[in-house]
Amino acid sequence: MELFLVSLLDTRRRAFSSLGTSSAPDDEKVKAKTISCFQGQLFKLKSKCAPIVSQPYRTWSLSDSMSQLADRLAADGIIVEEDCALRNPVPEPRHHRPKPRTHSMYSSRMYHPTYYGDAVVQESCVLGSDGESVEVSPCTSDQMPNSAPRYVVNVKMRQKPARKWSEEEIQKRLSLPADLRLPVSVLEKLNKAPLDQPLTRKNRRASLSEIGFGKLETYERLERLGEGTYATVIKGRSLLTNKFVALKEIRLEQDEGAPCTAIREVSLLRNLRHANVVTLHDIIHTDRLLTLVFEYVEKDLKQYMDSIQDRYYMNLKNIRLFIFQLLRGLAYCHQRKVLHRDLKPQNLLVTARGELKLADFGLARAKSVPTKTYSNEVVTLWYRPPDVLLGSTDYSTHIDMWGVGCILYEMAKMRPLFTSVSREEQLGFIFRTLGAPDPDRHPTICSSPEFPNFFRQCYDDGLGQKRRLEYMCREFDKRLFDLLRRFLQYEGRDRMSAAEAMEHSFLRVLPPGVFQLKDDESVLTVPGVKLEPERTDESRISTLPAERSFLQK
Amino acid sequence: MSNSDGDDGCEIVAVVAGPSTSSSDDPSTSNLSSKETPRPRRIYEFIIRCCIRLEALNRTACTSILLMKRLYERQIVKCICNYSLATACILIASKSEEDSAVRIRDVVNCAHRILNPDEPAMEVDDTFWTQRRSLGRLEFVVLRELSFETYFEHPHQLLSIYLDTLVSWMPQEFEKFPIKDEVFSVLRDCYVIPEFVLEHSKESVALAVLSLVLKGHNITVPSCRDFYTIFSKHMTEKKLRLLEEEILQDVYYQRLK
Repeated sequence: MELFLVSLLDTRRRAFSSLGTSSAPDDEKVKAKTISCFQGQLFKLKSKCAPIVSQPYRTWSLSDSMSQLADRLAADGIIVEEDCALRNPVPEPRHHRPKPRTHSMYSSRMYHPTYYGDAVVQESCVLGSDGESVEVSPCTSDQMPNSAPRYVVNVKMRQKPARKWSEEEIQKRLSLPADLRLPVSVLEKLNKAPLDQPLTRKNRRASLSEIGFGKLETYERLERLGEGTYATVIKGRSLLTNKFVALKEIRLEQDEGAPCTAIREVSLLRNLRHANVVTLHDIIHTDRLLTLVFEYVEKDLKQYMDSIQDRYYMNLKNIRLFIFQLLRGLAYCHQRKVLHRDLKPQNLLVTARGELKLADFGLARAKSVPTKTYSNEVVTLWYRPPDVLLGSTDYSTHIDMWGVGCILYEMAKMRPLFTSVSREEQLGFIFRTLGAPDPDRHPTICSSPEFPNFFRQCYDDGLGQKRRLEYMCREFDKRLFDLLRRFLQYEGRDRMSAAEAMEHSFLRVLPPGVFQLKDDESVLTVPGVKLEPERTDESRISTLPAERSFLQK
Repeated sequence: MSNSDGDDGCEIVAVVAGPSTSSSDDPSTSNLSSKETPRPRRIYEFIIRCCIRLEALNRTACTSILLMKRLYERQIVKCICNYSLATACILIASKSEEDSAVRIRDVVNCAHRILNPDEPAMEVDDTFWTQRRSLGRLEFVVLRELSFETYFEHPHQLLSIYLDTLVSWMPQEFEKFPIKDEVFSVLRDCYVIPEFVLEHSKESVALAVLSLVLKGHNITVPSCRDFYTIFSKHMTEKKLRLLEEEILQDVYYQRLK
């Protein structure tokens, strides 16, 4: 489709020169105009754009100074500002406000929302949050990247308790979480500046940068956790909070700029704030590396399952706890029109307390126009729904729900439901386990052009009954099996949605408090909800030793 | 390009980046007057034109324009060449919309061709590589300026649903005229006035565009003249006409009086 507008504008004068005033009613006028618009060849599609610009441009280039500016801006660090602001809702002039040239103390105080009292800030008086001088305050600059010269407290100036810009207040002012340990140099610098002036965006950013946000030095790299297709994940420690973080380092190909997965992951994650979605703390961009700083979670669900001593059974209460949190996180994402598209136990992080968090949104995408054909390579093969395996492009939230079913089975049985190396094998497994799709009930599967080939190839392998889901799950809790069955449906529209599944009788056993939580509240804050120790005999799904030996095969 | 602008000659401001421009919070340090900066509309048109040459998705163009619109609310537009920013926006939009057809090299070439129509196509030389590299860097500057917020909801999805419904209702008309393509082109054109798209509800925009194209072909929906009331309860004939007039006047500069 060629540019419409250009063609319209080009021929505008010709087409409309004849149109004068008309006495038709308004609607007729619009209509007449539009018709003539069309007749006047305005909608003719041109194969080439007409050159609109007659004068050559002086330049269209990013000069070297541009690059320098880019460097400088990048050096400041990329700060996800809302991150902090949400956690600490202090009124804060975050938006840019034109800064008057000269500032009288008064006028600025008048409209500065974080104005604290009327004592004059003494530039040279720096005190720690505990009221002592920074010299003895526990907040030292020893491990800070930029060790600043210690400031000498001028006792003479201390006529009245002018603890105006203590660490705490600066944290408040910059909307920072309270557990940050600010470097002394920052405290000092901020106190030198006339702080009761409104905080401009630039100043705030500069301050945040000095504190250490957006800087690689702020994070101590400890050990490698894993490697993905486009990123390396490293365990690190934030020198600001002294907490562990996960650093996802994305190699930048010089050729194509920022990788599209990274842009999407960040832009999606920054809009998702939920107790069951991993939190993005910071983004650091250096020349060769884009580092996303995530909260550190000890294990993923796969590691959790591997660590259970009894290798065959997981505590049913824990299954319930995890699947509920998984559904809760997914329901939140789906409501925000974000698909995860890559659910697997390795992408579900589990904290020591038993909180489950969705991670790795690299493949996730905000769903929008249905005309778009999504890439086929989305979900890891084992957790891919059959319609996607057959090449369906009708993606919706239901593609995630199949994966939930597979994970539910894996937790209950402690081994994956379908394990295959190829698309054909995977489809064969699925058809054998769930039975042949029926053309009337499962039109999407059966109408797929590739379906007949697969079906003939791999339906019967002689094992028959033992491959059926009912047989494989015969020792399962009834309600768990019912829930599982509702996820493992051939037709996308038949699969239970995450929000519906939370109401399922299997999960209704949980205390009612878990259904009334706010987004950012963890399920574990509800009394009675906790991670149960594994390997307790009474809560096993099955206790028959005979079945165990069957499973061992 | 527009009635008010007169001729199509357009003064582009080269990148004026020096020590003074880095303090982007203070408008007075920027030595560009509004006269020299191209109008936002021109930039939006540039984006559309570029996206068409790139054979990018319709949605990519729309997202780039909204990204650019957001940049206009920031000070960065005063110190960095707006065309460069627009090019970076196209790049970001193509990535965030998963438009794999768009590569950085093509973007540089396209922008060059459009902005310098009289010059030969770009050689793969040092200048090209410099531009390409700096565009990659500018992408990060823009991303940071936008705080990585690149997601928008467009009326496209709704429009697809409306079209789908109408196709089954009146298949002949849809065979005879390229209504589907035109509807999406008109919708994309509407983005040259991003305020129009943002201020009205998605339903209103989609319906106005649809109705305008149908009127252009002199098609009435058989036995359902006021089809818009079926799609949206809040739509009235008067409102629809106002929206249509707005598109004709503001987007296509058609005077109705």
